Amino acid sequence: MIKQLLPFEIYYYTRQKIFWLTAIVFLLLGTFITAYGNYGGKMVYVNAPVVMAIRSGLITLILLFVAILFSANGLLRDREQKMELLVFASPISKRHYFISRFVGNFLAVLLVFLLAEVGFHIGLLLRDNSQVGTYNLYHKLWNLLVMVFPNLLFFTSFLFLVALLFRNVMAVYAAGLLIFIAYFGGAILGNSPISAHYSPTSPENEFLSVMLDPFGLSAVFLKSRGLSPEEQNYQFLTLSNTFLANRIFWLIFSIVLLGITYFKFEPKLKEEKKRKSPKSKIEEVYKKHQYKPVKVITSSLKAYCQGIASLVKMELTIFTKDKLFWAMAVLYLFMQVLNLKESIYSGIYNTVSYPTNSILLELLMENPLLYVFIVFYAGEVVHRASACQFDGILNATPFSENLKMLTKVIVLALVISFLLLLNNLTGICFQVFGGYYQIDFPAYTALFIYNLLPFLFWIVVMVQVQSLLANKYAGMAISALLVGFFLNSQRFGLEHPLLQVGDFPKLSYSEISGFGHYLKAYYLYIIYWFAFLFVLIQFKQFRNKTWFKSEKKLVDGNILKLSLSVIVWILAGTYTFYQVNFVHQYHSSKSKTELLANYELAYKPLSYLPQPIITSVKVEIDVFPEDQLYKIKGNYLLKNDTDKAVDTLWFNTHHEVNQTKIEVSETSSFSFDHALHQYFFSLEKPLLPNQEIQIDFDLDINRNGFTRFDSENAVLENGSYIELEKFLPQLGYNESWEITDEIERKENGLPPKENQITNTLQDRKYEWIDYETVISIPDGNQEVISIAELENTWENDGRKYFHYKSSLEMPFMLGFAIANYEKHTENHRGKAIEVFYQKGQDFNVKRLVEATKHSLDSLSSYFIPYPYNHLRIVEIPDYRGAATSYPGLIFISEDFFLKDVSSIDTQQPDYIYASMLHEISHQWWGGMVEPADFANKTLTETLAQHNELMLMEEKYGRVVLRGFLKNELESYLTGRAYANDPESSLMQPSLQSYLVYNKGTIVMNGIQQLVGKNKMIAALKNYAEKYTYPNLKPTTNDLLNELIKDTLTKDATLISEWMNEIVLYDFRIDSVNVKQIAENDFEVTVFTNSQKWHQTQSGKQAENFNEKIEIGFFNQHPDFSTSEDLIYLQQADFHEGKQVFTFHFQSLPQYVLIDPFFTRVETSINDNLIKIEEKL
Amino acid sequence: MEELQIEKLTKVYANGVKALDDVSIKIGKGVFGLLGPNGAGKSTLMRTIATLQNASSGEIYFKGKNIFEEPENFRKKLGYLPQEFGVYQGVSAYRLLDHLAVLKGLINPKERKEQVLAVLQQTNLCNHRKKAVSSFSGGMRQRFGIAQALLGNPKLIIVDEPTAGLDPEERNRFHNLLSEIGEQVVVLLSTHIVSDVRELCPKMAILANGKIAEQGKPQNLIDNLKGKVWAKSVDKTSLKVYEKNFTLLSCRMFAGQPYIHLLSDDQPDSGFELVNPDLEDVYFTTLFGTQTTALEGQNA
Repeated sequence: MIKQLLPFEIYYYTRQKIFWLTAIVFLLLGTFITAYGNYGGKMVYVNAPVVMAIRSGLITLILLFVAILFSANGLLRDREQKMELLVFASPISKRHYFISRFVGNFLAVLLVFLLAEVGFHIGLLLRDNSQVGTYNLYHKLWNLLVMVFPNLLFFTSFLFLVALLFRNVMAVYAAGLLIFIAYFGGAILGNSPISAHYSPTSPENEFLSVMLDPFGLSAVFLKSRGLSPEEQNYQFLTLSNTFLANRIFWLIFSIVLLGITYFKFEPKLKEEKKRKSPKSKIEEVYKKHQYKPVKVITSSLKAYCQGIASLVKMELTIFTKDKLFWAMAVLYLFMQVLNLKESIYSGIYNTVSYPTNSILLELLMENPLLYVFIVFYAGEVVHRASACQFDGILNATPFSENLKMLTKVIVLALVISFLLLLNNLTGICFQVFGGYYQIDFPAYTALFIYNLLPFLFWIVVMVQVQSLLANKYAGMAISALLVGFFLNSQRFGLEHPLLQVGDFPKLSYSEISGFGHYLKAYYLYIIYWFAFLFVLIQFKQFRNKTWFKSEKKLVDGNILKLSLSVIVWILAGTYTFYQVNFVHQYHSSKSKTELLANYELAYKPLSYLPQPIITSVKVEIDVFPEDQLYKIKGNYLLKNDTDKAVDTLWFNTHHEVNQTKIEVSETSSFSFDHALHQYFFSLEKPLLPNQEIQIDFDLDINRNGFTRFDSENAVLENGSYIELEKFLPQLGYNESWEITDEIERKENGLPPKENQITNTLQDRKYEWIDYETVISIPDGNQEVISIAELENTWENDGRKYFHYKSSLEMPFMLGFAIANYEKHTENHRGKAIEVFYQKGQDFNVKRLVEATKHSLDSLSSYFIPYPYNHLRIVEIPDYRGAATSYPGLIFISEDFFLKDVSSIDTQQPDYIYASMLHEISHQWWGGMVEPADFANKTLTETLAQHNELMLMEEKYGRVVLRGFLKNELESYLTGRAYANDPESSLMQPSLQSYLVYNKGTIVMNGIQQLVGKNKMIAALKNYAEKYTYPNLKPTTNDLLNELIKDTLTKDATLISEWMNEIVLYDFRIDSVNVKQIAENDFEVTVFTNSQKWHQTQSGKQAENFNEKIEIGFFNQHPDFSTSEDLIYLQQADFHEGKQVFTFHFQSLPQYVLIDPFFTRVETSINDNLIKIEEKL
Repeated sequence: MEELQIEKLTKVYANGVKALDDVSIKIGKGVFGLLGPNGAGKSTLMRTIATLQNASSGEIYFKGKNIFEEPENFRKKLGYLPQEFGVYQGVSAYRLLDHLAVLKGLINPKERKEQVLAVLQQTNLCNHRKKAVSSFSGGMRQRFGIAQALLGNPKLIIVDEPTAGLDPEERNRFHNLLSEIGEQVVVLLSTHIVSDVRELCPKMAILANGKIAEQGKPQNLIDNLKGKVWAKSVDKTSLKVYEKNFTLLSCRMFAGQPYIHLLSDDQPDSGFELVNPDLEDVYFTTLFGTQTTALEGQNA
């Protein structure tokens, strides 16, 4: 019987439109994510074993939605299509029914997965060969058996249970959603490896999170952590014990579900709960209503309004009774609360934030779940009448079709508004319960509108889509495809804002700058896209009208409406196009890359041309915050400090400079390359060595919302911030414009980028300047805070002028900010510490000043004295990249001012204090000692990280700083797994933060442990004195030389290899034995296993090593330990392979841990720790 | 006066099925019966007249106006009871009627309330008006259907197979209601039950295979068959012979024996007696006629 039943099941599924629709969607999905997806860096093969496993896992996760549809459609078809009576009355046995239905459903879902696999193979063909590894059938089968089958089995059997036992479509939807919520909610709350905020804790926690993941993704994620790209490419995935246990557990779980279903299921009609009809009441007596026809009015405004109101009321009534709606609303709020809680109440060093308007409004802008919502409910609402066969009656009423469509839009907009109001309310609740009462209601209102508008656009689109299609599931699939495509259209090559349908500029929110950069452009995009919608709708009307041969009058009205909306659309589009393409130079990312490639090809050969240096900068800047633009007028004094004559002056300006005018007197000829912003001037008389020349320039820079936001060049109504040095003319060839991505270089015919240590004399010369500026802004409360000394301010003609002038020669670092500031000043040992902050955001001012004093004092005494007589701390809006250090001035994002450190006791480090230490140490590393190559962040970030750690240790002790170090090591391991370029050493120039910040911190920590703190400070002091202005700039070699000077040969070798190579360690505690020898004498034997290797291009090279590593005993889990909990710490000689160490204690410690303070780059952290348990 | 005029209406569905083929009917006030077997195209015709779908060719005029030109205007005068309909879960009869009344243009709240109660009373649903229509039995639901069709000021009421599934008592009540309404407006009743037409319709048409096979007053049609219908009780073996040699109109079982009606100008053989033809004989004669024509057409 099964033989006949099963083919019918397959036949049934493949006859459904929804099947083919999802099949196509998954085919495309498979193709696109393979062809264009990003899997842990460009060096990892798209078909690397780990990548395949993760992708399969994620696809099965998405297949959950397909399974929901198929279960609702296929498993409940008898009920939905009223076949139930026939089927259950037939002699089909329960077993046959059960098997055929389940297997059919499972196979249908599997079939869709296989189509995604086909897409995967198509995608591989579209990939660059360098990113595709060799094909391996074993991996494919492994994937299918380990990832795909068990995952599909899990949710199909769960949905099967719900479908068969509840026999209710809504219950199936709800159950599917429940899996999804439980999965992600659980992952985030339970610190699972699939969550972005994952931080490894203990083996027990890890085991639990791997076991509880029905999709097996946690296990794969854990396995891929810390693997280098090569390892990811070639290492086979194996079933570790936990992973195997996970798979078996969920397999059994699925089978148990099926078993329960089988025994509970009865192939009978489900008995409806019949509500007892109320006992018939005595016939009500009321006056006889005589039926007589009534005059009807259908085409008056009143009739329209009443009709719309009645339809809307009817729909809303249905919504209030819809359990699925409420379930989804609760889910949405739950996710929102989770997100807010995660973002506000967690952070590095347990630093939380105040629930301020800035933080909450920014978070409340993210509502991706609501897109799922409208996709689903647009289908439900549009097809509501036809789904219950009410459409015959409804459509025979004289109420206009268009108005009916309008009511669908209104209903969906109301429902979304309701959810967005709940969204706002969630934010307000967070503020109230967080004790923050300065709630900005106007901003909340604006947020509501800005949130609603894009949804409104998509609601209209989806209602149109649904009304064109007879099948609501097809409509949902197409709607989802449209939203998915256009909200990610950049990935598919649609980059011009006029082509990104319904993708409005992403607003941000900050208390300083309000809704920010894009706000003004946002309105225009709204007009543009809504006019576009009207055009589409009018066209559709035309199509409909030909249906019934309409009177000419109607057509004329439509033509008027159509042409009006076309005109508005075209006007808005033209203006936007003018702004995007003509006011600003628009480039797609491809043409931008080509441009940069052309730059390198054309101008790198000229980089030998000798160019003078800038010795003095004088600029007048007029800033117009309302118009988001500024104008610069200024001059440079140039000096030829080479030993050759300069006959051509070669300038370039940043691509964000809209108008450039450079004037050089006494030139014989000049040539400009406007596309690349290059300007050449041939001098009549060459500039001889040591000669000087003045040049003038005029620049216009427009930063309105039609150009991409640049947080370093932001002109806003309040809170402008400009890193001016980047937008003034520069001389010669600009290496920082070169493309760094190796694949892009190859595609554009460029040779691989050299990664050499800069060592030419010209590169090593400091080019410090005298600086003078007058910056003007409109009258008002705002002020300009710049580097250098404020000489004077005055007002004239409705503008305020701020005159700044440098008192000593300084680096070419010229940032300034403009906002309405409060000021806090303190005098500390002759230095003015000034904090400029936003009114009402004074929570952390004291803390910042405290950290400033600490670091100024310590670093001045350790290295070289701080040269300026002030240090300004200036708040800017919350941009990515927390803080930037300028000479005598540090710009800090709003975020820092809103962190809540009040509850952190003084014994614990906090994020504000630590970051401030880091930024201030940049006054030395980067400020006073500049690397010869700007890309050599080891000389800036690594040293700043080291200073931060050192000063934190001084204040708080080592034990509580474990968290900081652990985080650094973790970030390094993740960073290298996801790197786009081959890992370089700390000596080579690198901008990779996982190297210069994360690995650098661990290596510096190791070096300091090796040589001792005093020697380390002495080495850095020597280094600073030797290489500060006006001496030559340092390279990493210079730093290394200072570090290894006066150290033991053995230590010097270690330091050199850590700096020059990729050296990795793996320590492990296999087991621990406890023996009680006497009453107060416990013998603890620790069995360890260690490895050290050098990662080279050809692979791993193990090293027989012998190094002193610390081993520590704790009375608590080390992650939660304070200084008192560390009861014993000893340096022990570790070498490769197995070792046994024996210790004696009076009382038994709880934990033993190798290298508790992260002095080595350890690849697997968790197995360094073991809990000591006395065996009975 | 002819109120509803259907001219050369043809409907071909996208899959090539020709549901209506050159249908022309003229209908005046009163109940007009459209009789036809399942699949004859009755519902397609009803839906087309209700402007719920378009025709492939042909026109429909109501009171002289082409209904396709301004369908929304035409619908003001329309009451339509579809063959099958459902309702929103859990919405009460009164609430739903009120909703439909608004959509039909009853914008005066007092008038609306009055009329909603009146149609409820007319259809005997007043006591159930607070109950959800989705919980109604088949007959009640059908009465609700007619109640909503009466809302407003309908001049044309289309009822598509309204009596299917009604018990005799309900059907009777329904017939009374329809004929009462039919005194003032055009009622177009489609059915496959001959007695519906016999009891209600002064005029009728028979639709078969998308074509109008016969139309006129029922009595005239019956009169046409006078002297041609013969009846006899036969045994089962000879049934086949008669079926083969004569036009068998109907075969009913009577006391375990087939009792057949034959169409014949002369007495087929002894034992057959001439009977007074009824509407059912007309119906089957017509159907048989179209079938033979269709067969002949195929043979040719």
